[in-house]
Amino acid sequence: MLTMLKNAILNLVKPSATINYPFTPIPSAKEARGALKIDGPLCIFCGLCSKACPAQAIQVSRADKHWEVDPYQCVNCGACVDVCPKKCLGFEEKYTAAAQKKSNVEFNG
Amino acid sequence: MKTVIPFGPQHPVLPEPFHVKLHMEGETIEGLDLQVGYCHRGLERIFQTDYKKVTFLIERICGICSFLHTLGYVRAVEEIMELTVPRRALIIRTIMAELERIHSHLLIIGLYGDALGYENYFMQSWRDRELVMELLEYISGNRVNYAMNQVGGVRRDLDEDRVKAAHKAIDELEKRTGDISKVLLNDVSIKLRTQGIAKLSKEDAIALGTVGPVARASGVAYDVRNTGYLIYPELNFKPIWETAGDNYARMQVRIRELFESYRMVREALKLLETEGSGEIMLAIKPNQRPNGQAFVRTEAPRGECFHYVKANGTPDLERVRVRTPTYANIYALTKMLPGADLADLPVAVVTIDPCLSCTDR
Repeated sequence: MLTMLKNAILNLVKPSATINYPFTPIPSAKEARGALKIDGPLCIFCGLCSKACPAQAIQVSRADKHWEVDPYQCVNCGACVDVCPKKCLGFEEKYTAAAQKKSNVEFNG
Repeated sequence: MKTVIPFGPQHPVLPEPFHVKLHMEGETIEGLDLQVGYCHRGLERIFQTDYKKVTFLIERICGICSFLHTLGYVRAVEEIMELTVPRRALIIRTIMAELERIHSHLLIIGLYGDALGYENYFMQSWRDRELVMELLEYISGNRVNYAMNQVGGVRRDLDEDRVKAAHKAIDELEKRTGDISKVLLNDVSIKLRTQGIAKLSKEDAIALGTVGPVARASGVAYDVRNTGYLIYPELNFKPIWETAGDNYARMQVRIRELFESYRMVREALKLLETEGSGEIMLAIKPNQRPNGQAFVRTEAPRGECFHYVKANGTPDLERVRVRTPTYANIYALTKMLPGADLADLPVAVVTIDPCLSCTDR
């Protein structure tokens, strides 16, 4: 009883435990899997990432030299990052903000 | 006067969607009919795909015990492929499994306070849970669905900074859990609402096949971690059990398990430090594929979880079957609740820690 009373009184003077989102950005951990990114010029359009993706979020066309990911279908597991032979795939530490319009992340070589 | 009250699947006091038809005599519950199946997503059909992809899909069964589902699955596949996982990977898996148990237990302890009408308690517990959630994010890269396991090992190593952060978080959590447990175990009004209510006898607990804290609170000292998978035998793990079988005992088991988990995480972290860096992942050749079937048991935060995997030598699996702890535990409500008041229903439901997204898949 007194333990919780002590906590309740301390809470009056302590700073807030929550973040004033979206005005204050959320701090992300080091090497967090926020959003998939590609270092374009390195990509050879081999399509291994597309084959490894469990959510079928990545489309690659070798003929058109086109790479595309649907960030709303991506589950941020990192299976594509593991198989990439050129190590051009990676993760941004920041989580993507909510968007009004859904659009894919594309890259043309 | 006899009445029948339909309860759920959508109801403000139910933490999970399931339907209960309550047969009432005035304010007292005489009997109940249970119905689950409102969360079915057909996941077991989706698992009939590439065995490496399934590791990332199977953790989407449940957000709270997502690591345990991958753990059970990769253990089954490793048994089929006869792989020996590196020791460092086993230690990291043990740490992750115990951290997940800590966050699951802190979550249900908060919800328990909420069900009792103690909102402040709920907020304190969930604020403390943030510590372990942030630690899990730092270790694995995500707050839930950690993607740590893969067939043959783990995908991320715990470096020195992460081990230090884990030690710090566990010390702080142990202090705060001490505060929380004092209130939960000693407060008079909480005791009045929970002691001797919704009792499950040892015979019923065995007959209904209950698992996890529900069985252990009724005097069944049954814990799958005792069977000696991962590195539990080295950590001197002993199951924690109580005999009362009521709401109070079920939460008491969880509180005591929290302290046991803190101890085991600390010891496992020390093992990581003393043994130095090593391999964490086996290299698997592309033509090495599972062929056969295996059946493993893993102790999830809610109890024993079964995983069955059948493969036929192609990359695609033939069948993955999961039996989750809530499926075994939820029917204990039909023995617990008769004789209790209607107002005790939310508390009793929370003490079995139901997870319907696991149960229905």
